[in-house]
Amino acid sequence: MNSLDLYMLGWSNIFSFWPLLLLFVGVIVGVIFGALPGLGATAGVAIVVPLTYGMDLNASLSLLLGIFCGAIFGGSISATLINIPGVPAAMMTVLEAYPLARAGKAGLVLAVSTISSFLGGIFSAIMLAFFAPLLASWALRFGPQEYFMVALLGISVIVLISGDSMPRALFAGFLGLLLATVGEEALRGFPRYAFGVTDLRVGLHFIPVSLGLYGMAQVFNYLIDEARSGQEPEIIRSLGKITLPFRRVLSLLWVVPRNAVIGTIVGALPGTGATIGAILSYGVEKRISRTPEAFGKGHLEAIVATETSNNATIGGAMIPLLALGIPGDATTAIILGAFILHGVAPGPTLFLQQPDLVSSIFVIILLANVIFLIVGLAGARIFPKLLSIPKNILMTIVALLCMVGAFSVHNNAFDIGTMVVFGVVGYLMRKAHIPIAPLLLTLILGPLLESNIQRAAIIDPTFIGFLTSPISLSILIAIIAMFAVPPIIQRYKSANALPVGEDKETTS
Amino acid sequence: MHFSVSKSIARIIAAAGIAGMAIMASGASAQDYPDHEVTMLVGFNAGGATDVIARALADQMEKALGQPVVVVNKSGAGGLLALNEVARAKPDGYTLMLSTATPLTASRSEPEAPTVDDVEVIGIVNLDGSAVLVKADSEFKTLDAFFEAAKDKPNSVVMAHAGVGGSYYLNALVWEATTGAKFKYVPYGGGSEIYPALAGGHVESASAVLSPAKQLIGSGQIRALGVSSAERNPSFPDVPTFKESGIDLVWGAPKFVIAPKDTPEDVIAVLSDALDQAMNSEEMNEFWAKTGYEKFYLKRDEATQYLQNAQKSINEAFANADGK
Amino acid sequence: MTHDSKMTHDRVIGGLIVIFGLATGLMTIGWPAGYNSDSVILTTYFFPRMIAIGMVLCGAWIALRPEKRAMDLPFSSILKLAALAVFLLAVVHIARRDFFIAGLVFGTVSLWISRVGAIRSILYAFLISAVVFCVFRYAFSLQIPNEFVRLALNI
Repeated sequence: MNSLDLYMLGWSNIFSFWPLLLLFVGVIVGVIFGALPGLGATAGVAIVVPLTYGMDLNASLSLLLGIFCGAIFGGSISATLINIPGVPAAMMTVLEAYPLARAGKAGLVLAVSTISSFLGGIFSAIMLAFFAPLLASWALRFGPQEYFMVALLGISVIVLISGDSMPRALFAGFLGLLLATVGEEALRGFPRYAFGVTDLRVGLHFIPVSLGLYGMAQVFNYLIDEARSGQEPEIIRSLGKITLPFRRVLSLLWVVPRNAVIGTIVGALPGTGATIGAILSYGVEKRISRTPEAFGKGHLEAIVATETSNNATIGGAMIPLLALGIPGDATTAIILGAFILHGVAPGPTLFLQQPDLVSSIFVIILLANVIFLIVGLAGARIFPKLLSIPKNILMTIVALLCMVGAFSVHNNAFDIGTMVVFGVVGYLMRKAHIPIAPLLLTLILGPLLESNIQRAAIIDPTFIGFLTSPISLSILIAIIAMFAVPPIIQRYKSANALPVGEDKETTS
Repeated sequence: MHFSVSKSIARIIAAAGIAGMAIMASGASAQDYPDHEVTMLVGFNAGGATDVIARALADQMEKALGQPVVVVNKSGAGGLLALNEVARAKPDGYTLMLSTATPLTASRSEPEAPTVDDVEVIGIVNLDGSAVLVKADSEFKTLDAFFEAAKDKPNSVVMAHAGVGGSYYLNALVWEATTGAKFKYVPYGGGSEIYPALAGGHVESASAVLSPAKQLIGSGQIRALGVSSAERNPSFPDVPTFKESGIDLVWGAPKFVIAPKDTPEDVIAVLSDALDQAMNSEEMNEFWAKTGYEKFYLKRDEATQYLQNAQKSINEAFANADGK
Repeated sequence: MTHDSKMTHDRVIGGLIVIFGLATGLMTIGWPAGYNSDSVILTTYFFPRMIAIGMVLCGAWIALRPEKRAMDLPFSSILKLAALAVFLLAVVHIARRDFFIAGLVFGTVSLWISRVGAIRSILYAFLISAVVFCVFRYAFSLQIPNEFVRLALNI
């Protein structure tokens, strides 16, 4: 079967009533789940899986992948409007989207987010359809040393989001690493910092912590400082038209390709997902940018980078799933479960024996992206209006949603308690001007860092592997480059007295 | 007069009390059970083997019970969080769990953890033999050569597992106790992290199960040296059993349905029946065939006995591991 | 606020961080290096102690090179924070058994603090809790606890 026939077969599989309907429903549900703090792709897919038991494979995949794509995109909505990452993958988007929203550009941000997510998703779907087996076998070459390097690269991004005070950012980073050690130690199961509480043996999960630091902290801030002071509450408004000069659009589009690649690759590595993709993209973008000082205050390029990347990880994550039968993260693990239930075992022979299935998945992802593109663009004007509820009621609603979101992670009220504690921590951190993003960054990457160095140490105590592996070596060079190169460029620039430009968005 | 009034009052109160108790007792009787949804806890995340099996089972049990059976994932501490919850739940038959080896192993690190004697076992539903998997270019071609090497050179053969509380690690300890081998363990975060590590050649061997690696084994990226079930797995006809390779071990990690201790007998009888109907249904048989997980069905007393025997082997394995 | 007191804030924060770092490091004393036959380089306390050292250094950096930064945290705010935290933990305790009631309690208090009249607070809290509960329980089939309401309605 040549490619075109295959493609048409995929279309015909999906372009029938049930799959299309379920795809549409899935995307909508996904966007809602992504936007609601604490719920996300994993929760959405997990909750829906029982419903798919009676359906055929194409229909179930339409529903599940629709939710997956919708959710990763949906996270940017709450990140923009209420400064809470709806999905862990939106944690970098929050840094840039909210300041812009406060400046009245919520609609613009949502539109840009939508389009970036769309482009990232389409790119990774194409990679999936045409290069999956290749990418998958390349991804297999990542062993403990390589993963450690990836984690190190991600953590070095902290230096780029340090804001005004490096020691504070570093402290936040260390704090995140500390929190990552809470729980059973990987090698021996020894409970660290668990104080005898069984629920702590599991460790601290990212979602209750991030909901606390971003969500509850804001609620505390409001109730303690704003509620009785009679201050005019800030309203997120969408002012003016959602348009940009053509040149600007081009410069933004230019950001897409490299981040789509980063996202797809990160997605293809089992064990890393959308969040890590977003972190790396943000870091790379800031390092390459000519206006790095504009980052952190509301910079569209950054949003394009992170949103392209985190949606690209979806197609990327499907690569090891389909080509090797290995799920890359919790959400794809559930999707794998759906496959198994229908008697399909994805793996190397899938591409040879059932290419129409791959084609169907390609079409599903394509269409899912188109659907949320429409939803997102239409919503870019409408969503900000949701916030015209008076702030006191809005805050209560947000708090309740955060509570449900925290609960949903493990069906355990303990996580709500965790969230409250981190709400206190987040409030105090803000007061002390300690940035929150580095903490979340190391919380996500910490486990990857420690478990992989442990494995590397067991397998090869001499650690030679770090330098002999080409992948590991290249990432090491990349890390050094991230640090060393820009100061060199700075020196070159100042030697030639070139002015550094300012980003227009934040000043207008 | 006084006396007889208070006597009749006493009689009325006694009669009322007896009637009240009868009403309450009948409230818990099997005629009303179940009258609302039943929760089945699973100690692991959605998509994993335990979850998938639990959902299929719940689907069938729903038909038998006439009330929804809802699967709730409560992952954490290798299933301990869910186990604690079911052990402490009200013994009214509305909280069940599809348990894995957790009650057999948890007390090693958590002395307060519930054991098999602290719960009611309704039945065992699945037993997947433990499998020895090696990387494609491994020097080991047969199971006995593998264990020989691990025995001759203790702590040299690298073995991956899914975490120190888990059943894959437990299985490896049982192998060590049986063969005298000693492995160099590398922990991974879960089954799905082991297979890429093997396929990529980063670890020499792994303790896992066969089904999820079917594709990778089929394409030769992973090799299976042996499986510890009583007979060869029909989906993997080329993989010999431990017995066939000269190692006297039949072993597997069971999955079983449990309820809180002191659940009334008649409620348990209803649950047993429902489980029976579910396990004998055509849909469940199709499920086992489609997914490759192995059906293994033992009812109440047989099941409890089996688990108690397993507990002995496990305690031996732990003693062996700790002793060295 | 004088120039000096602004710098003091940094010294206080730095000092607190140093203490916190030391505490987390000291807590690792007595942890096992490994179990029995391990021949590993990385003990259970390797990372935590590295982290503790890192934190102490950061704290020292902040305290020794204070920057002019005001910290807007009056004592009254700290008290309010503590009160709210305790209140919320109580709410979580209720939520373990019944989420709806917990939401009602929290919502009422939160709205009332935000200058919504007492009666309206209860009403809005009731509505919001009910909607959130129903949507998540029935539409999303999330198993949210609902003991007390069930008892009350005798379901």
